[in-house]
Amino acid sequence: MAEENLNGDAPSQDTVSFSVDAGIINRLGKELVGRAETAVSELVKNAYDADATSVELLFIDTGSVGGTLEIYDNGNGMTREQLINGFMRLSSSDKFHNPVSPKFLRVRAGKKGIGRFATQRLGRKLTILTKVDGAALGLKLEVDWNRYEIDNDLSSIKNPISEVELDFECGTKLIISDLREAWWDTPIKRVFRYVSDLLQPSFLSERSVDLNIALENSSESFVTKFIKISDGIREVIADVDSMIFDHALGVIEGYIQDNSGVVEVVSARFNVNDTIDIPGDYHLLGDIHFKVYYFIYNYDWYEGYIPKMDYNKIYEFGTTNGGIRLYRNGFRVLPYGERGNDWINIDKVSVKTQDSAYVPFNNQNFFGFVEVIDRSGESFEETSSREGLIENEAFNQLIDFVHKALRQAAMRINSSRLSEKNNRNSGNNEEPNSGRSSDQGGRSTREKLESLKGGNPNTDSIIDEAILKLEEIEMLRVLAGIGLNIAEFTHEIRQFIPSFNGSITYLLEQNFDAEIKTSLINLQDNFNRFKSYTSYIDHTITQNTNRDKKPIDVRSAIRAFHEIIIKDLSHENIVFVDDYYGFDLYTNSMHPSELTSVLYNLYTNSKKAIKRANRGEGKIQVISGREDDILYFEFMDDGDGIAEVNKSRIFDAFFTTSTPSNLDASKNEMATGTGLGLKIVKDIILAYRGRIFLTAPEPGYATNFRIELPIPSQEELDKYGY
Amino acid sequence: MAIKYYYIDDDPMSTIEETAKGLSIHPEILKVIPFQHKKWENLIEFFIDNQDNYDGLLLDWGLNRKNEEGDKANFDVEALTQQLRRLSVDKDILKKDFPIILCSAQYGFSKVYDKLLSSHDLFDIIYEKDFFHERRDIVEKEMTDFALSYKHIIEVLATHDTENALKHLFAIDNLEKVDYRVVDYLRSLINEKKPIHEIARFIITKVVRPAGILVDKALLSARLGINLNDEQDKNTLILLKILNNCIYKGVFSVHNQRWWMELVIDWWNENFEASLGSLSAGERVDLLNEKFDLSLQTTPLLENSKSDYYWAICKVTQKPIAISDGILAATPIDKSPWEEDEYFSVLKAVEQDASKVHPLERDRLQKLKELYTKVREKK
Repeated sequence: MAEENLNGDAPSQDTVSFSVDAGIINRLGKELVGRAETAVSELVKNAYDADATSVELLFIDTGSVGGTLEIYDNGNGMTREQLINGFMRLSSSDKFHNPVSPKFLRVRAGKKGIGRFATQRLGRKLTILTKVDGAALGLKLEVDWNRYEIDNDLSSIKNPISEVELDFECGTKLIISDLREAWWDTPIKRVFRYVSDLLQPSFLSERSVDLNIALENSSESFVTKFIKISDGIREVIADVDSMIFDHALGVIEGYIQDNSGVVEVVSARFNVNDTIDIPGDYHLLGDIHFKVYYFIYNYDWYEGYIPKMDYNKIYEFGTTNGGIRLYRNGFRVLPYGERGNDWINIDKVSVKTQDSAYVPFNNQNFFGFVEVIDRSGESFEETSSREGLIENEAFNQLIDFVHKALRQAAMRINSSRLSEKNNRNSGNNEEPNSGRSSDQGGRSTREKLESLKGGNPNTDSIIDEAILKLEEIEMLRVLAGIGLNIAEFTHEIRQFIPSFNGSITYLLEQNFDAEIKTSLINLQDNFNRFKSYTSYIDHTITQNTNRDKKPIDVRSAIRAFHEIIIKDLSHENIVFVDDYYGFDLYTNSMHPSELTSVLYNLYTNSKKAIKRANRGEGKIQVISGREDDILYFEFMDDGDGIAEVNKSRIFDAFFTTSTPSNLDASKNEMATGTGLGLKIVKDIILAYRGRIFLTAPEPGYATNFRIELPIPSQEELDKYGY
Repeated sequence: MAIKYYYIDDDPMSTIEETAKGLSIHPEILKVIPFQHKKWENLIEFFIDNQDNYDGLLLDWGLNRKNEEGDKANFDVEALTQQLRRLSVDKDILKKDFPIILCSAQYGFSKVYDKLLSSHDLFDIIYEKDFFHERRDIVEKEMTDFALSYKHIIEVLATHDTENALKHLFAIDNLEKVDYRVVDYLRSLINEKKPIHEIARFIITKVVRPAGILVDKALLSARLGINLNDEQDKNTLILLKILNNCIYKGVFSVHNQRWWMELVIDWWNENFEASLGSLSAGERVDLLNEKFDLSLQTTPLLENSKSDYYWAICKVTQKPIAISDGILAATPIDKSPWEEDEYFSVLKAVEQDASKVHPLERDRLQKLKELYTKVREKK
């Protein structure tokens, strides 16, 4: 390279300086900014760097080449000096010297010195309107890029600058006209995606605006709106709502009403619109409110609603911005809702629906804010270090409320999601029999029925039959209630079993004399016998937590049942034999707990019969197999048998040969005396279009119940992967 | 020194103290020290502050009750375990890694847990609390073995280079007896300074438990043609003693007895001309009896088995079968190449859902089901 004179003297014969051809602008524009979308996103980033909290992009008549793009931001704006030495000076060092923005200390997002070329890349004319806060007048600069042609000296091209009245307080408006490209929805959305990692939605609710609370233009807020105007018609193409929040799988809002918590869950996607009460002590919360958007990161739930690309953006957005922020009197309180902060204890738990399905419940799944309005600062005080709120009772109530509310809401949304999933999987989930209807207000119906009597003896008997049915239903309701109590009771008992055993084991190791040891061993034996009684109930309940119906292999069911009663059998001195004719002895789809219920009722029945036979021992045999298109199993015992007169009545409700019991008996008596066992068995079997009847037992046995059920089709089995 | 476990539960102190006592009846071997849960921060701090005082944790699943200070757990144990694992990677805070065991009083918990939760890799062992009583010996053995094995791994890695560490972990001089892929993978885990619990998990789930490199007593019995479980029989005891050098003595070897299959083969080849696999059970037993002057009994053929060239065991009954008599079981998705296939004997296979057997065996299974279906005489 030739020697240069750099002493700034006027040109002379002895020195020579570089000059720049105006064509360089064109070349730089093309080389530095390849795609038009990149160019626009660079301009948005510049607005971000200028501490704007909102940017609006208007694509005016851009359906064909030659339209206008206006980009308005409410950032710092530029002074005359900044405009001249910054924007108009190529390769200026401003961003180099100031890597963070002045007001919000944002790390600069824009690439150095690209902005002006971006405008050149986009359109042939540029107008800059800019104003700094407090200035009376703004500035207007016009650039006609067409004039930057080859063979002109760069510095010889002059651009008019003037002071003008502007209708905004501060900020910059770029008007790029005579656009080089046409812009339609797809590229506009693409730009939105390019800049979306800068987005920081403003979480302040309309409510706090209404309440006229000091609002802070907080640094994390940065929103963009992409609007298309053609022939005067305005249309939002992309903003945070349309690109992200409108696709939330649920919107959850909560507040306190009369000291109790309320949460509203709306999911357009899964058809949920519920208001749920959140029980708890929230008397210190007062004027709080939260709004949260819920997302599940699996494209399956968005497919058909939004393109995969948009979903990916939502996902990215969620991983960086997810969480629940906290605003107190309109001001953001840190560090709540920052990445890694789990003040609502969302990440610390795993949540399941009632049927034990997984519920996505992580900070990432939520975007939102909690807003606390506490002007007096009595309930929610900031710590002196300004690093959060003092963790007092009010704060704990807040955490508890928001946590429970989000959990409930997530469960509600996911229940609907999962039922959609199940429908998707099975196509049809109808009950085979809805005949077991419940009746509201049985008593008054009964009275009404009674009052109808007295006419025709035929109708009277029908009415009597109906009344009997109602009584049955009432009884079943009572029993269902008792059943739930027993379940709860058994569950509680189980918690103590390991402890009991621990004590016994420990005591047995001590040096007690033989008599105490014997006593302890007996205690252990008795205790374990006691424990075996909880197993049946536990087994049934565990099965009940899974409410899916499926074909059941009777062989496995009977063997599992045998395992449960094995200790009881030896205690009762009963021998149990099972025998099978065939393999894959599947029932039609049914609830596993119902089959267990059938077996248990038959077993209880047999046990009583064996006791009545009074031989001190007994035997039970179960035989199962298939005949043509029915599946059968026979349950027989060598008890005292069933008298001929009773054979036709045993399946009737309240028929019992053991304990006399009637409807006036106490609830407990009814529950234990029952006479409902076989009736329940019959109801279950009928519900699955089966039959139950007494049949001839194998030699050596007295009573034999035969149950027949339809067998499932191959299709049905395939569906469940058998 | 006794192994100490901290045991965290939400039941009242008087309840969990007794449970812990039942587990600590050999306090010189295992001591389980009960605590009620605390709030998240306090509990983590508690584990960090007391890290020198325990060798493992026993955690109750589902902390739902309030503790005696009236605090509810604001977390679940999966999250807690995850956090502890994370802290153990960051050695500055939690300086050790240790077994974490999950337990619950819920009926059939291990099955429920298996179905419901994805956090399988989190816990070293899952217990139903009923096991504490019903299988107390095994529980005691497992808890101590796990804690000691963790300690051993830590010590070995701290004092040996990778190659020697591997030899110590498996307690074998010739690493060629371990599958090269296992060695290679472990080598990379060690060299990349992966956390101890990951190394432990790999060894336990991929080497010690599955049949392949190591075999358990049932499989070894099948391959020798005898029943090694018959400990009343002097002959069996003598043979087991002869096989002493083939016993696996590496980490996690105390709670599950295993033999190195390759060492067994080597031993056989040193003593006999014909290879083990080429002989029928009767021939194997004859050779053993002749060579060592024993009178071992050949395990008889199972009903419906045709061959006594035993090489596998039935997955259900653990009884010996020849590969030709076995129905190949469905392969778990995460089975590694060095893990052996599993089989059902014919009579157990026909009782299975088709999904439990290998897809290639399903037609055969169907035919067997038809063949073995009994016909009931009309009454």
